[in-house]
Amino acid sequence: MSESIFKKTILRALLIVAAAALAGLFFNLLAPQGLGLLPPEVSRPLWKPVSMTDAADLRENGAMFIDARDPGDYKQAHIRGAVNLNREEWDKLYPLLEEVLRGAPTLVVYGRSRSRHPAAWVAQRLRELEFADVRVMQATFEQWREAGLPVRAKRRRNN
Amino acid sequence: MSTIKQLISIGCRLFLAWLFIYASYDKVWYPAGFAVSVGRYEVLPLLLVQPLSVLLAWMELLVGFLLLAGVWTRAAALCSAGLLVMFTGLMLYAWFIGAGYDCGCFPGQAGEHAAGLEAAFRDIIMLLPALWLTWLPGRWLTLKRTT
Repeated sequence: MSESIFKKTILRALLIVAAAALAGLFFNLLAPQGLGLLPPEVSRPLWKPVSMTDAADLRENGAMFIDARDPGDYKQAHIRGAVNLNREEWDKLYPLLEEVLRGAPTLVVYGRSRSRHPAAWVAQRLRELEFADVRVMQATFEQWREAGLPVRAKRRRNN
Repeated sequence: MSTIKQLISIGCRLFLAWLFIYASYDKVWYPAGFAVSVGRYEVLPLLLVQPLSVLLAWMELLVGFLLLAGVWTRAAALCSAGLLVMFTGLMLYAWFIGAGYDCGCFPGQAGEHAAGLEAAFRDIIMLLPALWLTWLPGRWLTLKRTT
């Protein structure tokens, strides 16, 4: 491959990337199903944030905790009394939990990660389903555990 | 270029064109679903998940159509090779961390293509025609003479 062909190929490849970026930008600005910079549950939240300390107080006063992380993480350890309700299994889990959730005065959802905010998604869905008081804890499960707050962890088997 | 090499080039080009168009149309039309798949890998900050998932989907679509038309074949093949190298890296990462989720590679096949070693191997196989086309783009059935 000659140097001129190599340069032309690199330039064209960069143009393809730029064209894809422009096409994606315009499509997402114009199409009703287009995405914004952040998911709506983060950019236009219907839920209220709550600090870890306030969340611990709410727990003492009967608030129900919802663990929005993946089921595997929940099984390993979770805030004591929390139920698992995650995005991937929403259709299966929500009907089973709805009655219990409706009976709680306040719902506190937790679960954060680098690329996702699963708690925000779950909280948004709950608000859309007309749950009045839905909060998202502004701390991770690990921070809760490090603070010495109540946790239920899977016991290791000693063989 | 010999007839055999032309045949290999057109075979590689049409295969990759089909692959990328098939893999991307759903991601382009329903970007939210693909953004969820990208987020599941946990390698990007939240702020970059949606913009990059959109860029990837449109790159796949554009590369697919350029390969189909035989326009800028060498550059499109280079882009497809870059995408496949990145996907292979992601699949190896998913295998390394033991993730069992769907790879998000193809539409309507949730659960059928788990991210991991098998998907990484498949991506490496798909990388071969991309590399071939970067070297020998071929001239048969193209809208434009390739360079």
